[in-house]
Amino acid sequence: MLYPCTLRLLRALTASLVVSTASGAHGEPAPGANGRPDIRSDAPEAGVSGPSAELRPTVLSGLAAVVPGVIVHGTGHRIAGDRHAANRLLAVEFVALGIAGIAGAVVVASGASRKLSPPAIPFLVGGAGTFLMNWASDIYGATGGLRIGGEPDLDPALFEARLGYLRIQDPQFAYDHFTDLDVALWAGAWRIAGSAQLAVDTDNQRVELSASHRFAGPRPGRTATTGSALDLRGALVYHRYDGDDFAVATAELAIAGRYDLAGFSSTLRGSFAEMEVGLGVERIDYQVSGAPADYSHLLLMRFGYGIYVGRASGRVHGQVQIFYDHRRDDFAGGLAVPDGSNGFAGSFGIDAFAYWSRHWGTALVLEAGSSYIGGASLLYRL
Amino acid sequence: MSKKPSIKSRNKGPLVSGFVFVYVFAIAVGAGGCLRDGRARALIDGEIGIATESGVSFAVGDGLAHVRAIEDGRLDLWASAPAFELIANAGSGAATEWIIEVDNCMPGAEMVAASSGAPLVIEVLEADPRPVLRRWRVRLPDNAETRLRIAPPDADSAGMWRFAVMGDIQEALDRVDEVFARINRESGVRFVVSTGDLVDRGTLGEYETLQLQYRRLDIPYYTTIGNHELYADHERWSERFGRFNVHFQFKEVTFSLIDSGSASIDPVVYGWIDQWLERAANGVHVVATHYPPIDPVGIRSGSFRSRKEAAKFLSKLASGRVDMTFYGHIHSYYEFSNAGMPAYISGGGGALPERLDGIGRHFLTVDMRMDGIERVDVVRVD
Repeated sequence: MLYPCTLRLLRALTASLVVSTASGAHGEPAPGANGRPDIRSDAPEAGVSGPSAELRPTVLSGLAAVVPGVIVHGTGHRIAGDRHAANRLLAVEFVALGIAGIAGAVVVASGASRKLSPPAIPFLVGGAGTFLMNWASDIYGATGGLRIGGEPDLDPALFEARLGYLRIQDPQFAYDHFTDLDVALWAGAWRIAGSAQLAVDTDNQRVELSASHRFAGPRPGRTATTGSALDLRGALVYHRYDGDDFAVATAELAIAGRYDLAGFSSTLRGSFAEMEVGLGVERIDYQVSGAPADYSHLLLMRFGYGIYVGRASGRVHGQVQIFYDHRRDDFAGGLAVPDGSNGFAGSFGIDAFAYWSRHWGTALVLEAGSSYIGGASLLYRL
Repeated sequence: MSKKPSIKSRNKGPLVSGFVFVYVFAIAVGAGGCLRDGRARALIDGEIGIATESGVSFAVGDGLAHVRAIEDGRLDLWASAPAFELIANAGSGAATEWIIEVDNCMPGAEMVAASSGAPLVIEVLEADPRPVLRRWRVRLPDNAETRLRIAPPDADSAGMWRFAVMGDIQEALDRVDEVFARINRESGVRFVVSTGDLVDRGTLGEYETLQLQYRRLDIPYYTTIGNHELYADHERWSERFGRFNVHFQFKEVTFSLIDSGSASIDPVVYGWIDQWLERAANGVHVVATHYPPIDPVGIRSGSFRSRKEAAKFLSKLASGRVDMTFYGHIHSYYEFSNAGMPAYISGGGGALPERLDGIGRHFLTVDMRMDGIERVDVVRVD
């Protein structure tokens, strides 16, 4: 028997799913300055969900979104006066915890069985990720994030390039300083990208080639009404650690989605959530005579919560995102924690970029895992 | 589609929102804590086996025994290796007659001592019912250095012999005596090599239970730690059992038991590993550590927190011509190969078992021949 409150939660969740699906529809917004769409914040918008809300974000609602909001999602919105959004956030928390709880129970009860844990762990990480992003959403809305949240880039540049510097503090490796080069080009629904991180102080190089197919969402020449997107991404990565006598080649396939949270609630306009799930196969070559290569699988899971910064037609336009990356094979590795829980988590980070002219922009990244990473880049787009 | 929500506040929200974003990232980085939490343990290793009392200073070679108690004329040691050297320096007027007791000692071990090239007379004291507890009385000359060696008579000669491997006792500490009883029945096994996780939460009660359970084992138990010893202060370990990283030789076979309790190995320890590999390059070398560098079930990733560190570690072991690797952490049995070296995971000490694997509680026996490893067998306990 379902209790009435459970039914309400399920109705709220169903409604949010319906709205989120509808918000993915494409449209053709009127072009603004620089040929980019001009979405005015005081105009009715497509893909914005939720009833008219008398949102009253205060310091109290913001703090309540943190505690007890971490336990009861939506508390901040409830105190700020938006019961509708609060109920939906609570519904998502209910589902996320349910998914993570069931998956976690399978992992624990099976003793991390080799047969049951591989299918369960993605749900565990995904459920935990949804929980955290949902909590962040409540904080965003309840603290008046709507006032600082900007607009998505609905007309991505055909070509983007990045040249930057990475500082990586990893006690296990001699490298510290890297140049970071990235280029990306759209061809229809395909986005072809290449990147290279080259150490300048030791013999270490990482190169990546990737191709993504966008099934839904903004792309050059086919703008959308929201920032929501769905991509299938394939990549080949080669990372050479010549000073440490090994090299790793990885083939990856992942599905990645961005959900523009305006579609979830109008109080979350200007923010978005991302999740990626996929599988990697890696080959480790040891530069040691007689040592054969090792092969292994890799779970690719990444989730993030972010806000858009500025307007497409404004002086500055970009985004800021907090993210979690479950993979342990990259520069960041897995999170170092001070007790016995090491080895389970991936890395956390924050990345941001902003274009401050038609062609030029800046990007920053900070990441913490088994190493600390900080980087800054100059961006160029056409 | 809905109307834009109205916001009624004094606009402190963005400030709070920004604060919360920074706060959340600070938590993520803070959770990362120190990237070298194994360093403190490595530094403790360097202080093991050193004590001074009544004008006599003692130092155990390579820290292979821990000074549990010292008082006027009496020294109690916990052995971490089957053979070790003890250097005593007695000043003028120092206590000369000492009773030296060694727990976790090889059954049948002998003490030999010499000062200024002259052998000293050793008195073997009344035998304890426990074969791993040995006592000797020795008279140390004034103003001289005395070198004592405690080892079984065949410690330095190659031959056919056996040892056992086990790991991951954790919450099954109360019934690990059943595993020990089964090991006691296994003929010819000289000692147990353990990959850690002897306790579950590292409580004082658990350590008391562990001490009591050791009394049920007729052979010594040489071990490193796992992640579960780190749920409490790691000094609870070192105060009782000494080193976290142990390196010794027995019958021309080298053993390196390496602390990976933080799902990583500290760079200080990597420095030791380089020396150990060099010393053992031409002999048989067995390496044991808690975390498998790479989980054979890659998606599960019950392994080092950084895969690039895992590859670096394996590359080192392969270049050092390590003959066999043993791991724990995963509560089952796996036989595989890493970087061409035979690898075994044996986490059958009783901790929550991996289900659907048909293994259960177990340990391994390793049969050595004159010039290498003869065979590895799984011995089921249940």
